[in-house]
Amino acid sequence: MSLELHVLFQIAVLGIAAAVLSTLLKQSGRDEIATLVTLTALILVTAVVVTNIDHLFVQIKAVFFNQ
Amino acid sequence: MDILQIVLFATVGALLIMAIREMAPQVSFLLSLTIAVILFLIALQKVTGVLVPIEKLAALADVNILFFATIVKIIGIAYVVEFGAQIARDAGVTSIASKIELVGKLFIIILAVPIITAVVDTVQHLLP
Repeated sequence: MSLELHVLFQIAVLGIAAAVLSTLLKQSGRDEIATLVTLTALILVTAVVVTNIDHLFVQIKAVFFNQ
Repeated sequence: MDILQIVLFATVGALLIMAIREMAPQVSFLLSLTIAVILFLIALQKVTGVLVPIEKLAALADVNILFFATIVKIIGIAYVVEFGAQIARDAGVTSIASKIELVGKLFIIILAVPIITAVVDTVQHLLP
C-alpha cells in the first residue's frame, strides 16, 4: 500500500505558488507573464496527474484484463 | 489500521482542495483527480487479494474458464466506466459522463453474448 501524500502536497504547492505569482504579476501590470505562469503551472500539474493515471490504467489492465 | 490512513489521506486531500479552490480552480480539479486515482489504486490492490482466492475456488469447482474471465472483465469494465464517469461529472460535463456509461454498458453486453448463447443452447438441449 502506497499512500503518496507527497504528490498531493506537490500539486497543492504548485497551485498556490502559481496563483500567488500570477496575482503579483497582474498587480505589477505584466499580464502576459501572469498568464504564462498560470499555464506553466497547469502543464506541470497535468504532467504529474497523467503519470499517475498511466500507472492506474496499467494496474487495471494487469488485474482485470490479462486472461 | 489501513483504513485510518486512507480516510486521513482523503481528508487531507479534501482540505487542500478547499484551500486552493478559490486561487486555482483547474489545479484543484486536478488535485481531486489525483486523490481519486490514488484511492482507486489502493482499492485495486485489495481487489487483487480477493480475486486470486475466487479464481482458485472457480478452478476447484470446475467452472468454465471462459465464463470466469468474462465476469472478471465485466467487473473491470464496470469499475473503469464508473471512474471515468465520475471524473467527467466532476469536471462538469454530464453529457460526456452519460456517454461513457452508455459505451460501458454496450461493451458489457458484447462481452456477455457468449454466455447468453450458452444459456440458449442449454435450454434448446433440454427442450425435446
